[in-house]
Amino acid sequence: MNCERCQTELEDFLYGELPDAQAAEIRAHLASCAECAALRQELEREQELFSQFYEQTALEPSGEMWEAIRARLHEEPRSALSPSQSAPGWRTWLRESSFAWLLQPALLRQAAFAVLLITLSVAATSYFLKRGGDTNQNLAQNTGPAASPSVTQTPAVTVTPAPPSFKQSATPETTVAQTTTQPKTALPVAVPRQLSEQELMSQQIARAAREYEKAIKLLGQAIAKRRDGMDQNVFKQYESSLALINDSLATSRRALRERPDDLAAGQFLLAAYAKKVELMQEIALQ
Amino acid sequence: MSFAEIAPGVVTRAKAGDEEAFHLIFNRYGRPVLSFIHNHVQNRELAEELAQETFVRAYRNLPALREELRLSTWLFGIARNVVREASRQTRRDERKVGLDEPVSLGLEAQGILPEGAMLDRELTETIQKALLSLDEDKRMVFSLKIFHEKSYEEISALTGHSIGKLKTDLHRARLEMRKRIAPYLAAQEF
Repeated sequence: MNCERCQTELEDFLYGELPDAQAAEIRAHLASCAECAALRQELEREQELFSQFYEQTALEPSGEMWEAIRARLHEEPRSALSPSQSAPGWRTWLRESSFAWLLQPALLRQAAFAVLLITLSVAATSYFLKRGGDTNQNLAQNTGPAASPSVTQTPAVTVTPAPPSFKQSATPETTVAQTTTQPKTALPVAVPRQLSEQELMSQQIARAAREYEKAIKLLGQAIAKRRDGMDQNVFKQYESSLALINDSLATSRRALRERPDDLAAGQFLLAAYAKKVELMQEIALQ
Repeated sequence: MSFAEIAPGVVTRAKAGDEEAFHLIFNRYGRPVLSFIHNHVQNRELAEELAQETFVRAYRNLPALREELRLSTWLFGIARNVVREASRQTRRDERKVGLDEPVSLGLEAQGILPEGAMLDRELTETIQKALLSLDEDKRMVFSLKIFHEKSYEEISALTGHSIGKLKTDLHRARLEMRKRIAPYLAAQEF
């Protein structure tokens, strides 16, 4: 073992994170190398300082704190949550997060209306941003979703390929794309199948996600143009908030990939998209 | 800094709704959880409020805990979420009132040190400020590893970050902390 490798692995050695064989190599090297041994001492001294800091500043919970917790446990009994909602993983995290309101059934029912609003809003944005080009063609394309807000399967919807990230994760969206891009000649023959409520919701979630992606792309372009003239502090905060939202998006995509029929996961995905658009709008319109 | 896990059976009883058992859990983990939160917010009142929220959520969600041996990691995970939510809320509020205010949750230059403290007030405050100057990811891994002696595997499960990222963040955090405390380390050598 050389000094470079020893120094790279020294911290993990001191944390006890190295396998036995590797730790033995480090130990042997430290016994024969004064420079690395000195570095070890330095790290240990530093660690000791942090330990003392922790011991001196660690807070003891007061008796009142337990009483306050106990009072809240009585006010909000555990039975408010059904056992089926107690599944571990993202669902637990969702309940613990500020998005917990999404688990309310009434909000699930509002999804169709929300999708319509998103579709109309983004279609209008796209139209106004693109009207410098081929106005007539754009108008024809963009009025598709707006003129067909019905939640039934309608071939008038113009399907734009979703970004790969979402396409890979949301199985229901693939179904929408395949169905809506079928040749028109097949339509008179096919008997439209009555979609279940769940399938409709899945489709709406996929459509809304696509619309959000469109909006995000447009806003991203607008922000990129203004980037240089922006306050650095504002931009740092924006990036930090964006990273948190992207984490939430990744979590919900993963959840939806694992359980494509889980509507709450879809709703959570849309809420994260909404937050992202809201944040980007705030920055873009400054 | 390390602490023994809770006695067998206590978690099962708490899961079943035994309040006394949950009190034992609070007695065992209240200090590390409160201190962990305090490391992030540096404000005792706020830390106590967030620790309360952490334990209330823990009680409600306890039936969902699968691996009882991971109770402490699970509690830290809830505490982390609670801190992040509070931090997000603070950022939103700050955006409303203006961006000239510091991004932190409100640094208290309190320096409450017990009698006979081994570190002087100045060094303690230097470490406190250095901790707050770390970005959120670095502060999280630093606190969990250095103060609470969690393994990379546990921190990864808790934060969702890869072990590679954790190692990089921790190494950089230590370098940043070292810069701040270097004068004190040098002084100790004499």
